[in-house]
Amino acid sequence: MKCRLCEKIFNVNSSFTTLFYFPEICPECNKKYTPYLKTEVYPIDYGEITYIYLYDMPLNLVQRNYLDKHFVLFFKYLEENYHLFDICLVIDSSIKSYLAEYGSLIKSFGNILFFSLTYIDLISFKYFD
Amino acid sequence: MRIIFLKKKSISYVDVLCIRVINMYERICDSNTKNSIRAIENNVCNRCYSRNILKDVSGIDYCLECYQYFEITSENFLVRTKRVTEKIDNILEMNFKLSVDQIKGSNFLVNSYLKRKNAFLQAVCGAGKTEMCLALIQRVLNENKQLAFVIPRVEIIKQVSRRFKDYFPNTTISNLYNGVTLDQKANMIITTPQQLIKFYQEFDLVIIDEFDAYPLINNSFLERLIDKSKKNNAMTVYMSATITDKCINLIKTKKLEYHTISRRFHQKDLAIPKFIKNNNFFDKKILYLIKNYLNQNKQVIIYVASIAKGEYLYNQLSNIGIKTDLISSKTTYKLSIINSFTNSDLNILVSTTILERGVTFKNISVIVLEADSNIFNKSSLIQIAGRVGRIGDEGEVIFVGKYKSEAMIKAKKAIINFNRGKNEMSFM
Repeated sequence: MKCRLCEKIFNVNSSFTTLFYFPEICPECNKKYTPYLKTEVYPIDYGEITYIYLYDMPLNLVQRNYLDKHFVLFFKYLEENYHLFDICLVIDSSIKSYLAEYGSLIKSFGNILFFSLTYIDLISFKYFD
Repeated sequence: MRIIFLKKKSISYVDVLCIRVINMYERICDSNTKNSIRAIENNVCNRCYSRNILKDVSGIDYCLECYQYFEITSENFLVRTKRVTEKIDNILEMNFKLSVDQIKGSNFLVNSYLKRKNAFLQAVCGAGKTEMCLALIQRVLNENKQLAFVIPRVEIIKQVSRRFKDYFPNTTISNLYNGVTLDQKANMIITTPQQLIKFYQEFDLVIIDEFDAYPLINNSFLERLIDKSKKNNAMTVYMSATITDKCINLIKTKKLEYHTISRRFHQKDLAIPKFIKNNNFFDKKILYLIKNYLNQNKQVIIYVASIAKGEYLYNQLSNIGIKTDLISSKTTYKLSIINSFTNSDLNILVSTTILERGVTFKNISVIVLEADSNIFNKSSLIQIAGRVGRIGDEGEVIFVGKYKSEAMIKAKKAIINFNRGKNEMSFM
């Protein structure tokens, strides 16, 4: 089988339990790309920005497209904690380049939630200026 | 009308090429400027020359190979600016004399440079490969040409850079690895292969030390980066203690000049590995061996096949009260651990293959646990054995394993042949 993330060929030990088991990703990638929510909090004038991301490593387009399904973790988190935030912004690759321009629009909100699949250095966007 | 159009088109294309063939430092930007080119054109990434391009739903092309060094798309541009360096008199200060073998190696490199032919210098561990390059480096620097010294490990870059700064006190030497910014005025750059992504047709000479080490070996991506960073008539020098099949083919077809040095500069023999059969990873037998070395006031490096095994061994040795530390790719302060081992603050250093090459310690012995593991191939075992006796001191190399692997036998055979003065090409 060919791993959808690293594109390497891999095998699964055959047994009766794995007879109809065709994993899409190799065991190494399975371990490497196990999703869990990582959080960073930045204080701002009227509250704070909570930044949640799933992966702290760079991902290419194929990997992002495949791992997008893990956004469900974030939606589960939001279901439980939506009352804590005034606004939520999901940052994808298309928004990333305009991110700095959103600063003035969302400034007046107190508790802001940012979410992205891969880590983005928010300080480099100069939100706090 | 049609002919004129073609003529015009071809002239403009040549003009573009002319702009490109100058030594350049590459940056990514979002807008098109005079000296910029589109990052991805005609399904080829201009930054890493990859053809592994994917279009997303909005029609933007993404490079799937160089994304780890800031993802670029067809919307981005690459600005290539000329890096100007000052012409200075580069003085070489050496407080020692090269041995006869080292002078031969040094002359070989200079002659290959004069012939503009790529060269491969195979020299045993501790032969002084870095010192053999000094004459060539001085020559290239004094011609005000650009040179890169490529080393695959950051720890070795830091060690080697200090030595170069002592040898060339006038020269501006810049280290380049992840998280470090390039000194734009640097005459000489010591870099990891990955950082060459920032250069386009910059270097007249590229020296690749330990080119058969991870991650350089069988890595077409890094090979493309090296090719991209070199000028068209640039020379490449490969250096290592071991040789790859690819190199053997190039040498046989005379595409690569070859020179070998099978003796160390102090003329002492390489330590020949001893094999100890042990079915367990760590038990009383190994502990007795370690304590025996410690009683002889020897420091020991223990090589293990994985980080998990290293952590286990580190815990076991620490619990007994032996001053020990673990170094692996996950270790944050690698250099401070290496320094404390060098200063004899530690008795034992447990290491993964990260310290298999490039580093020099005094008065040490080496134990390789589970040497029959796939992690340790012939080349890595030769390199590990080469850590012992680098400055003329005595030490032992012990391979511990359940059985003698092919790699262990080949490594031992190669070391014995080196001691007899034969090179690897002759017995292949």
